[in-house]
Amino acid sequence: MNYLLYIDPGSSSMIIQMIVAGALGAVFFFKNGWYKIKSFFTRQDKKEESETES
Amino acid sequence: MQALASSYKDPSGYIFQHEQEVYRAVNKIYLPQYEKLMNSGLYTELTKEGLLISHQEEPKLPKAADVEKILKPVQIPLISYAYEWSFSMLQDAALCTLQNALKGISFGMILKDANTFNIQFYQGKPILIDTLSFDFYHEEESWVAYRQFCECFVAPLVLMKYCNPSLNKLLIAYPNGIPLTVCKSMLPLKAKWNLHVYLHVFLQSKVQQSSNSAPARKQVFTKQKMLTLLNGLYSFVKNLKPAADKTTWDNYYEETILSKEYLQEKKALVSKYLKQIPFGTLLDLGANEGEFSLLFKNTDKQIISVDEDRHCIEKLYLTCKTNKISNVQPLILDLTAPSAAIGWNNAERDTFFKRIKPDVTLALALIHHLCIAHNISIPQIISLLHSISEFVIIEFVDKSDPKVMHLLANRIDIFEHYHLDGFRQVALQKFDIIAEQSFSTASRTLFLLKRKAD
Repeated sequence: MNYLLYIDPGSSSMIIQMIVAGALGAVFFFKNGWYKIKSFFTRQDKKEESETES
Repeated sequence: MQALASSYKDPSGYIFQHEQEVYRAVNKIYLPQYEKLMNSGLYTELTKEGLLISHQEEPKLPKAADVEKILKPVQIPLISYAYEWSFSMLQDAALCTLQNALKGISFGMILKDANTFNIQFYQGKPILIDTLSFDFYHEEESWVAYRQFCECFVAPLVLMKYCNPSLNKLLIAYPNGIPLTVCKSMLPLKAKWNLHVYLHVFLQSKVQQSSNSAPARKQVFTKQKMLTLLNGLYSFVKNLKPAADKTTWDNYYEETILSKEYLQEKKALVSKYLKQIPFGTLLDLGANEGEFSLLFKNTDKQIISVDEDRHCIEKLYLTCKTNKISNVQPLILDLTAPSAAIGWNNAERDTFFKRIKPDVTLALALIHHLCIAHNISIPQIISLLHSISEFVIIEFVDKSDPKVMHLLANRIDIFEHYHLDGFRQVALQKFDIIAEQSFSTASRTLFLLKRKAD
């Protein structure tokens, strides 16, 4: 027991933090995935554009 | 060494005052954590980035039996509280707390508390002043201060965003954080559509209420989850914006009939008066957007600019932040109801006027608002000013002034004693008049007063 942790984190602190971290992690995962897909196509478009320009 | 009235919760140590300076005692039981803070590189990193107050150890001072070390932190000239901060100030204080927590993790330490009183504004920036806030980090444990952070920072910030930007005043009623049930009950339905608000406020409040006292089966947190939580909170807080509303004092100098000539004349006269007196700290009462406070920007003077208008203070804070002005401290303060002493035995947090010791007070274009809009008498105002500082620069605004006429437009003039001679007589009871000059551009008179010896 660590006596220096002097504040009460609340009885459900661990549960809520598991849910919050899980939800935010999922959002980050999908956002990141979406960003990768988007940047893949944007890159393709740019590549095509530069190819047509040249 | 008697601990200060506010320093009783954490067994790690306490703060005390000795010969007008503030010190921090580190108790023996906290020594392993303190040594890790100092030796791991965390302290160096945090102080270098201006996130944690720096200190020096004072081995020569006498210590109580259970005290291992005494630290002398850099002295903060002005202690202020979250209920005196504008939206961006509270937001920056929250971000400072999270940055400290995130840095701590990378050095194997965790921020064990996250209340607003641990953050102070020093040289224009928020800084963590509680050196003993770090404990050993164990990856399987969740953030012990998560609920406290939500109640102290997230709750007032979302209330300021979704309801009204003045709602950080609720922290006077709830100094240890606004209970999430209270916050939830005030938020509009649309707030639920924000994932972060839903998770940190609505869901947390629901889980708290529904959970039984018996703990569930042992669950294990991870470092990845901790970083997701802290980074998620950081980006959420950083992107918050206050509710848009307009106050009486928005663009006062731009939109009102005050002429440029009058402002120039007043600035010149105020500067002239201030050159006549020695001062280090100036209190600007009713500072508005800091037109006069900023006359002393980036000087060695300490300027405290207070106004009851949150927009003005927000604007002044952002001006100082953008232009890196470190000697002007804006704060929200309603002079008719200044911050009271609160906390245990009404001794934990001092009243506003007990926390400041200015050498000179500016009260420009203020007296008519106090007298005519709030029915406060001239003797009451003089008595207050007498208790604040040795020197006072005060502007008397005559009844023939358009601003006073506006204030009297819809009410009966019950202020028979409100005139220049009356003011002068009352002022002379407690002050000597060092200088007095009427403006050529307005029906106003500027006085330089010096407190009479008792």
